[in-house]
Amino acid sequence: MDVKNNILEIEHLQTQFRVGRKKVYAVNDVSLTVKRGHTLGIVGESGCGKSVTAHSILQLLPQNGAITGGSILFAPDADSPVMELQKMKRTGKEIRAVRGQKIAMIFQDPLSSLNPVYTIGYQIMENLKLHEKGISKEEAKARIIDLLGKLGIPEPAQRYNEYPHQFSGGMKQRVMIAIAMICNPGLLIADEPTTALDVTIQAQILRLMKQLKEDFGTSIILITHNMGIVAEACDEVAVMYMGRVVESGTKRQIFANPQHPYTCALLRSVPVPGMPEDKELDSIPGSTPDASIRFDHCEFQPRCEHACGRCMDGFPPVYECEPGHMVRCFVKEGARQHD
Amino acid sequence: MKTMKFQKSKDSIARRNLQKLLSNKLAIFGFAVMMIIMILCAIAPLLTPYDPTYIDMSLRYAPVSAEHPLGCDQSGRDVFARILYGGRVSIVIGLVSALCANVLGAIIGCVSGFFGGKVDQALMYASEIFSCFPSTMLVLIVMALAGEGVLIMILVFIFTGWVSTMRMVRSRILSLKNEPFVENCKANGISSASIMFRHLLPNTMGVFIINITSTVAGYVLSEAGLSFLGLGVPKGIPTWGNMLNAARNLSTMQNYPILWIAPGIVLSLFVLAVNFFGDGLRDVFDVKDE
Repeated sequence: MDVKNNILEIEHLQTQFRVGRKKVYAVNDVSLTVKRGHTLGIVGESGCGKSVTAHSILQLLPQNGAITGGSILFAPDADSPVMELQKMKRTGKEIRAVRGQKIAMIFQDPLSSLNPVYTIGYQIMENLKLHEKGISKEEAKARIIDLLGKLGIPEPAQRYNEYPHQFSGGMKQRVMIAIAMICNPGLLIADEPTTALDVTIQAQILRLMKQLKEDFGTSIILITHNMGIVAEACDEVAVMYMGRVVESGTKRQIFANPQHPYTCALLRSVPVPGMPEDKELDSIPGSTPDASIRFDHCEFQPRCEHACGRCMDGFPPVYECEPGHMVRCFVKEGARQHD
Repeated sequence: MKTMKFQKSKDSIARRNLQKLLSNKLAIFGFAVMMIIMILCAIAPLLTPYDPTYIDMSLRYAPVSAEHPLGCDQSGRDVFARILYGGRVSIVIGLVSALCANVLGAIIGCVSGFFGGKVDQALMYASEIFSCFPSTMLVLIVMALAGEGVLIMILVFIFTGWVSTMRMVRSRILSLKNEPFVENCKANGISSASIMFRHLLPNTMGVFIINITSTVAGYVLSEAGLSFLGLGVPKGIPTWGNMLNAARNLSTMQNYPILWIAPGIVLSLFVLAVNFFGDGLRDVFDVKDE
């Protein structure tokens, strides 16, 4: 692992769920790299395995889910030992020490992600005290109020003692970010952090996360299905389809030079200001296949407009079409194959 | 911004609930009556100079007088003193049994709902087994084996009483544990025990408090019923139930009605008051009509 530049490296991750007698192949082959101080965007349709990937990192999978292959390597600092997160027990002390302290996570629904019976100050304090034992109450409180202020919550000293129902959706998401950031984690996983918020608040939260990245040097994984958010907030992008990363690269590479037919289709289905009035938005025909069916060839083939005979024969390997730009499609056959 | 300023920091859930409770006249009446009876029982030595167990045969069936406001019973014991001191025992039996049974039920329900699976199944079977014992029968059997006593009675009540709270708390936990805030706790590295008891259990407080009030009344009545039959608290200890026992004698019942009417009224009033208060609490904590 390249400890110096990367904080997290996921290699060939596989995660499966057991639903009754059926197996659901949620994540089939995901390889991702999060660079220190960068934001990686993971995009894809609902059910493509974005959230499962994120939950796998922190071992937050439900009881019927398990990581069945691959590795998740995490290096909090350039000189600390590399942790193999996939080997940790899901309720063990090891992973609990990582959660919240070294890798924090914020969720889609800020409205119900706070415990209604405790003040927000108490809930942030709980996380701080859990991971920094021996911190005095006064110091902890001062730090929390300071952070709340930095996150744009007005009158933080007073709101410290308020309950979640007294906060609006956007403010609640700020509180969630405060809980996540209070221990100054190296990596923040944001699982669709703005989906439940209205558009103006979305922009504020995204700006806030950008600012956090600059102020604290936090690396971020931003999961979203919104290409606009990716364009706004990310440095690198990974496009997922049916539990596989089909294309990854820098934001510029993906947006200016998309290679995979799925990425191209996704980008064509985003409305752009100034597009002709009579032009209809493209949509991708068909729907995502059932995740309990195991494919023996490219999963996108049934919906792909460039599909040819080759696509039925087997999985396309990953090609590196320019430095750092990976594509999993026969379209780029001839480019250098990546392992 | 304006509305946010308007509801300043003091607007906690507890305060809102309190206001809702205060607007319920019947509940406040119930609470007042309950408290008055409890306080009178607590300060009994200040209100009556008599020992409730002191037998004075010269005062047998003494009528109502200034010295004995409710007269004396068949053994010449002061009825007023017996009601006050008897209330102490009856209420303590009710409160302690209700509190312990509910705490036990809440903890078992919490564990059962949170872990689910085999643990849940085992605990649910256990609760079914416990709920199919008739508690009166159990009291009789245990008393026959271990002898009479207040403590044994309380233990039997706890033993058979945790089931309903356990089921209610369990069902609340089952829905609560899927709330996003639980996942958030997990993602912050909070341990399962802490999630269970510090985050989920306080959210079931409503169920817990309602259950305590309704079971207090139930246990006070159960004590009275068992003692009336002469099977509960030993004869020597005054309780409301033991006083009602006097009504088993036909001639006492006809000739000296005050001996059973007085404790009967106090007992009924207390149970009614607790139930009114409990209903008020139920309205406060029932989220459905909000």
